[in-house]
Amino acid sequence: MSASTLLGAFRRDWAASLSVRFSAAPRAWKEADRISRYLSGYLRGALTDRHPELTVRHATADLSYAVNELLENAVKYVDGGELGIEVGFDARHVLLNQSTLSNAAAAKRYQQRMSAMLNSDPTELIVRMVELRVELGNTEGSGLGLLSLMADYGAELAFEFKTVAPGMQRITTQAHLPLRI
Amino acid sequence: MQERADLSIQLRCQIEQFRSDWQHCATSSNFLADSSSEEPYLRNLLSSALNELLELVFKLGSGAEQAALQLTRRAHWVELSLNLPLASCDEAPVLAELESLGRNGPERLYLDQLGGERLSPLFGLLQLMSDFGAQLKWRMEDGVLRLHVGLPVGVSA
Repeated sequence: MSASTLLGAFRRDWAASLSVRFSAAPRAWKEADRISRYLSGYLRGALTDRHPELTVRHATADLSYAVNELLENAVKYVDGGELGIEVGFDARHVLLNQSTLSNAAAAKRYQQRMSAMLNSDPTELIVRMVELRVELGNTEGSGLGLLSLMADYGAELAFEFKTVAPGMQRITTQAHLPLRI
Repeated sequence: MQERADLSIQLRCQIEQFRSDWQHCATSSNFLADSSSEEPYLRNLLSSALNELLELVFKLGSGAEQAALQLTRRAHWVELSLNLPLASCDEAPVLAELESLGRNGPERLYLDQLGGERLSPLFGLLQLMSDFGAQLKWRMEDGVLRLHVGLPVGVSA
């Protein structure tokens, strides 16, 4: 059986309304914006039908932003090409799973960073990261995008690290994005 | 020998949600085609072919289940696979038409339908086979129609 490690409140009690999986991520990363616009446009009707009080702008902009951040974050750890994203709902959240194959070393680094992030105050971490950016001029892989999702959009994040082959892990980053209703 | 796959993209959708808006066919086929190639002719061809398959999801898909559409790009072929749970009332007529397609070939059915009073939901597939040389394989398994369309692309993707 494959070993699996969870961080945060990883949810399995939902089904995706729409999912897209690419076999070759190096091409897909350039397309994060296009993918996010497609997914948010597709699901706009579902969101506003379900919650008439939700503005189209909030329904699409928040979802598009979240998908974009998850995809841009994923390409920093991708190894082996595959990249997927799935989107669903519950009564008060948009739920997103973004999955990527990664080598074990990169997955371990990511796991350590995300564990530290989940155990910190995201707003304080953002301030620290911005200060670092000013000081060092380079914060690639800092997780600022994910932090922003947590601090500015109230998203909860969770992670699954699953060994799928020797030295290879599937990382699933899950976001629970509250609907602004 | 089968050609190595250059790229594969899979779209899975909840059918009821997909059927809530006819525009999902066009936006999804354009999205997948744009993700598959930068070559304009191929993108147009793929967009048309994908749209035909996605319109089947809209017309024939069954309720709460999921449909899966996969595009696999090879050097000289693009393979499109659709797994579509059918509404039980559609199963018999769809199978009858696919069996007729096997017996009579696409050209005859295509012309018959063009001259007939109504087009069947599978007319788009006939068009792909007649106009673009697409090869169709299918099987029915536990209420799920599994369609496989091989599309010769003739140009390097």
